[in-house]
Amino acid sequence: MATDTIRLQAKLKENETLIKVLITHPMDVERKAEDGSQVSAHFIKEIRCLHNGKEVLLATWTAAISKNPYLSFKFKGGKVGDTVTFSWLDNKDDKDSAETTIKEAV
Amino acid sequence: MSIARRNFLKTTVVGSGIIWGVSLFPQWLFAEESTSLPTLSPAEQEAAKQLFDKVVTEVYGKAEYEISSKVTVKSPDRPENGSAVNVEVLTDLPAVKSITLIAANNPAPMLAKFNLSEGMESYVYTRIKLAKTGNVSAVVESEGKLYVAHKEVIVTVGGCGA
Repeated sequence: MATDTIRLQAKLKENETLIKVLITHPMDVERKAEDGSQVSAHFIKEIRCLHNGKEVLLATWTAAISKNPYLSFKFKGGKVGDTVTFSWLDNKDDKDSAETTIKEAV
Repeated sequence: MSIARRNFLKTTVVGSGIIWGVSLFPQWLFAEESTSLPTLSPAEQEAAKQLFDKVVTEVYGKAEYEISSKVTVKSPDRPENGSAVNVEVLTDLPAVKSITLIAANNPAPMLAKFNLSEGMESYVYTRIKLAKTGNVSAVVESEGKLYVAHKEVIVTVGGCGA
């Protein structure tokens, strides 16, 4: 299991919680590398975000998402101190998850 | 009032009106230039549309959709590099269930599908790879219907091998 690949931030502003995620991942497309070696596909196929244990976002990705993916999205109904969990699963069954609490936006 | 004076007034009033109008909307003058660049031939556009329909059918089981101004796809017109193109999707539509990103001119056109639960704002921002010039499209599923918006992105350095 990959560790420490997710940077997660949750900020509350006017009843909206803005989540920003940055993941460290190669997101490789199957291809021939410049030195002639074969690179196999290696990409995140599923991401999931939970707010207090309840699913808010489930996304299926392909290798067309950029290397070291960045994602941001918003949901309503969050409160300061609530837990936000974010996890990913890639096509080689590697995975990671991170947890944070919602903070007031300054 | 002499005729000459009347003519003088007429021409100045009309003339200044035109100048004012042009200065207010200068993009009208240049709009033609920026859209007439032959980025994709009609045949390529048709092929892209068919591919797009095919992907929509694969994802949603049907290719019945409406091009809607309520869906906005924001992206740079000419990104520096196709390997990381910022894309933002926004919509005012109610009860959005999912947002799908499609680039019909990519070798693998299906990019990502975001399933939004209740309470999610209809907003997604991410970075995608684009192989070549073409439309980045967002399909929004709202109340059982599909709404689509396209944004043309001109890619000079393709980024699918990265």
